[in-house]
Amino acid sequence: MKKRNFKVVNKPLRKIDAMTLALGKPSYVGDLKPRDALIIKMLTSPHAHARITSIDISEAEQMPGVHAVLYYGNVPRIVHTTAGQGYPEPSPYDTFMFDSKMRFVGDRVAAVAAETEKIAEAALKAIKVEYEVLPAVLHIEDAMKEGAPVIHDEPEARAVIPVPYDKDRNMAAKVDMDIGEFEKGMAEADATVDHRFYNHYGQHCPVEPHVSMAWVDREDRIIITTSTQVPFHCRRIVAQTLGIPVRRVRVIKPRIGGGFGAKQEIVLEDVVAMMALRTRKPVYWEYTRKEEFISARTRHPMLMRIRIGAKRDGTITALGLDCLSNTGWNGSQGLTVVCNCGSKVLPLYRCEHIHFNGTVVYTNLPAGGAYRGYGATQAAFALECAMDEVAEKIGMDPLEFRAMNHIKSGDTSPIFRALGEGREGVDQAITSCELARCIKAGAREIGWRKRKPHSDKKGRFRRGLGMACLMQGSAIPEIDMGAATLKMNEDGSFNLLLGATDLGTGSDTVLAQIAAETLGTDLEQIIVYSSDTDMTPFDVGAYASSTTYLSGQAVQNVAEKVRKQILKVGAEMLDRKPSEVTVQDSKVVEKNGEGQVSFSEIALYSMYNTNQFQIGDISSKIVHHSPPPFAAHFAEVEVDTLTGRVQLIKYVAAADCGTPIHPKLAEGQVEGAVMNGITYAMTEQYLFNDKGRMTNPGFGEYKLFTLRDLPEMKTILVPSYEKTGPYGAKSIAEIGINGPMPAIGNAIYNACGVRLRSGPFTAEKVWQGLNGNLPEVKSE
Amino acid sequence: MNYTDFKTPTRLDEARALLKELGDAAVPVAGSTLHVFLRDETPRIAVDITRLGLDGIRREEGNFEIGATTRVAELLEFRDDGWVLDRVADAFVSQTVRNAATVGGSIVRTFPWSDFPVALLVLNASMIITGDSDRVVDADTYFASQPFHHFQPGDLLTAIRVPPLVAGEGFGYHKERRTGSDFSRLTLAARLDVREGRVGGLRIAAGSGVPLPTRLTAVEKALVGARPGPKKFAEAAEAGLEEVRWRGSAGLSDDYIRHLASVRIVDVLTQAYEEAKGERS
Ligand SMILES: Cc1cc2nc3c(=O)[nH]c(=O)nc-3n(C[C@H](O)[C@H](O)[C@H](O)COP(=O)(O)OP(=O)(O)OC[C@H]3O[C@@H](n4cnc5c(N)ncnc54)[C@H](O)[C@@H]3O)c2cc1C
Repeated sequence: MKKRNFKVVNKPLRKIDAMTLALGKPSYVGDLKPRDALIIKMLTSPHAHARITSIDISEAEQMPGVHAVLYYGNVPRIVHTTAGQGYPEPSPYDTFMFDSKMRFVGDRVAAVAAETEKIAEAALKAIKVEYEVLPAVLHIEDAMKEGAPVIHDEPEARAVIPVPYDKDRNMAAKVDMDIGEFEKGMAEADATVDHRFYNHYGQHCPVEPHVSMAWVDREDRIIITTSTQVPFHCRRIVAQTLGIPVRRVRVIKPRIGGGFGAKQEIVLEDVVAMMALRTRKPVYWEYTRKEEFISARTRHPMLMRIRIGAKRDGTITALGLDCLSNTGWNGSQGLTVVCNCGSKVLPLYRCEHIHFNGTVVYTNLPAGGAYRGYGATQAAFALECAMDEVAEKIGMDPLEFRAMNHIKSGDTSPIFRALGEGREGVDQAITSCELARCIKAGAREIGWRKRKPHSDKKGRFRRGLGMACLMQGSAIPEIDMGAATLKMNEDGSFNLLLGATDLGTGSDTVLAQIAAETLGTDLEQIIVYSSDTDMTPFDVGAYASSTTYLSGQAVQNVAEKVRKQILKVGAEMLDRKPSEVTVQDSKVVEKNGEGQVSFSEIALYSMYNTNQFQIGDISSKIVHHSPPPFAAHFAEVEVDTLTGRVQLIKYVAAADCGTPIHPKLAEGQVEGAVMNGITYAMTEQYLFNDKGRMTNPGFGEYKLFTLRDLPEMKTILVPSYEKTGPYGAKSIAEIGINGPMPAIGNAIYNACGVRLRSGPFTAEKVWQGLNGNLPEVKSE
Repeated sequence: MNYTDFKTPTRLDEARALLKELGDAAVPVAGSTLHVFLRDETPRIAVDITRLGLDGIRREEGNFEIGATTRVAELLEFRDDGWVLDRVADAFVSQTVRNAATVGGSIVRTFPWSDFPVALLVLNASMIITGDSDRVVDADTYFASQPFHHFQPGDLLTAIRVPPLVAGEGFGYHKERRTGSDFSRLTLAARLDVREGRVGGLRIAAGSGVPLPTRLTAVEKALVGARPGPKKFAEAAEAGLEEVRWRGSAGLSDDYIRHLASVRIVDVLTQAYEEAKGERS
């Protein structure tokens, strides 16, 4: 790859908010809470499926210190989706601010706003509710059975875009895709696999739970300060849910303590806004960790059937994936997540005959939502484990099998067109792919050459190596839009106003680097403000691995426009044509090296002197490609064959994200995502009782890996140059989470011959496998 | 917990007098970490017992005498011949909690998953309680039920006496957990000595997976006087399985924990045996 001489991008500069955060300066929603804010608490349903037959809030309402009680009887009943997606949303409208029907343990019954948390909690206890308990759907397998209880029997529930939706059968979405003749491809194969896999529930676990506050200003507008990934969608959906115009709502996003997709949902903001309107006081609502587990969002659990056929020479003849996805009590992101199972995973291997089906069902369990990986995590588990199984059947090294079949630069896949996000996709050819180098570098680092089959291993403790190849996307082509505003100040600094949301990823820094590189100035000269629906231009928000690629291009575009303006003024000041000058180190210089004027002089000139105008502009970007980042992951495990305990020894992630704009942050994204995936694979688990209540909603019992549990980890960034991206960049934030389930699963198999097809990989499951009595794959 | 006041006595008698006088309205607090697990909202006065000079580890008449308010972090750092509690402290949650929690606090109110009771049982420790009548309670009696039953208002645990390991003795400890900071799903500890090629004395106990830390006397019986070795350990473990009703947690089944116990009993016996033979540092 050609070496490029970047001055600001591709450098590990200090993150622009690093000192503020390191010094603990007030930055997060919780830090900004007004002292007189009323505290909101929510009474939730103890039943998985029930109808409220009577509710009495009078005692609670009259308690001293209580300012308002909201329930279905005193708020607007407007059907909407909680999914923070573009309009019209691909998720069904099936949610109300409050309803008399309870659809999961944790559903909203009534909210109280009171002067203290204690009073609010006491008021919740004073609300009297009677329920008619209904039979519940607690397993995906039961959702569409004849006679299953109907979860959304309200007349209003509907799909917004023309996609299959059948609420009478608990079907929230469905997508089918067939390319070539799948059955024929299977028949042509020398070896086939046909297995079921299950991806379990998992939670984002951001350090900062959902938290929101609101107040009504003197113009009667509702100002919401909230921890959100999608300020603009939040504004639109809150206005819709309250039945008020968008202009009455302003959403401000301060710093965020992690989101990972959880905050691409409108979970608190509708109630917070309603309470502010009702009480005319500042109100504040923060989820407890328990509420975060139960009532926020989760990864969509999926039961999958994967079928692959291959010839002895390694040609893949057929690739089939059927996903039954559990969207829980509401259909948020159900369709698009399941679409991604196909579109972000199946194109990875060349194959003529492809079958894909995704069916999304409602259950009376916690709701799925956006979660880093977004469907690719689920499908990669099934596909990448099955790839190993086929390779074994045809007697090929799984690495060679992948290397032979994976998509390469210049290739396209019919899947790109066939499957979009809830609609047809967009044709694209791969313009950058260094997966082959990722595989090589990763294999070298893990010591793949020493890998032996499990049958050669002896002794109580056995080591094994496993791998997985991955792809994702970068933004949603022809749908997502980002914009940026840039203006110049007297001292030659610039205000960069971003609708894009930094949720802790460092995207403010990355976007400022792109602006500085384009303008020919230093990072310190860029003052970033993100995001505020009154002040910053529109951006869909932080999701779909879009910020660097999509918002980065909006920033690059606006910076190019502003650079032109600067050149024009500079040339005028130097009495030259714009073509005779260039930008260098915050100055406009004559190309012949004679004269120069600083950015500050240019700003002062344009503001106060001649032909006065504000140097600045706004630019929008919609992308036409979604170039995939690629990765090869490798895991080494040690299995105790007496107890089944799996020790993760080493994990290697080699990733191609184009040009890493900020290499340290990019590495951090890989490491964070990998760690996230490792703990999902090894320990995370929602435990439910037979009434659908989660029994371990806290970090005491729901276990996450901490730094102490880290295996030896190695991240390798393999650069490529994505010509459609800003300075060659594509995405990196999501892809890393998809590898650990299959890579570790494959390593366990290689260690001891036990193939786990459902997570988490507990010692007990491995032990059962070692004894030949693994239970059949099914949902929790 | 709902603390309404915080008293900071600096002498043992002063603290005891306060606690006695206030009765149920007060509670002694050391590291004050237990409140994370308690739902009790009754208003109480906290009497801080960390300034009474009850901390530190000393040798006293051949034994280790651990002051009740010694932080678990100190147990991890401490080194001396025959000292093994650093291994238990190492498995104790996290450094953050080790820095705050005291060894006394962790054995006055215990949980099935508590680490120290199992180790102290096999080490044959004694608990020194200072009250109107001072007493020394042996580990078997002390841990036979929830230990706080041994305390009257004004009584304080002041020290723990632990006999050190001597030549020919070994200690084995295992805590089964999903992550470094997890609660134990099964704890096993063993102290064993070998005399003339045979098991001379053995104390082995289990925690977690069982309601209260329990000596596995059938294992002890099967091994004392026997020639130690993997086969014998496995046979003894089988005997131990019958003694206790093993319970699963965190999604792990009873059957699995029972199986795990059969493996881990052998593991801790092997560790202790190797150490007794001087093969383990
Ligand atoms: C998140 C977390 C995880 C934990 N995990 C584990 C674990 O895996 N294994 C484990 O063993 N421990 C664990 N612990 C620690 C344990 O549960 C207790 O919280 C801790 O040991 C108590 O010590 P303390 O000094 O903080 O006691 P305190 O909280 O101050 O007191 C505990 C109780 O003992 C009484 N008390 C304290 N000292 C005395 C005394 N000298 N005389 C009489 N009464 C006294 C108090 O009145 C109180 O009732 C964990 C703690 C936390 C917070």
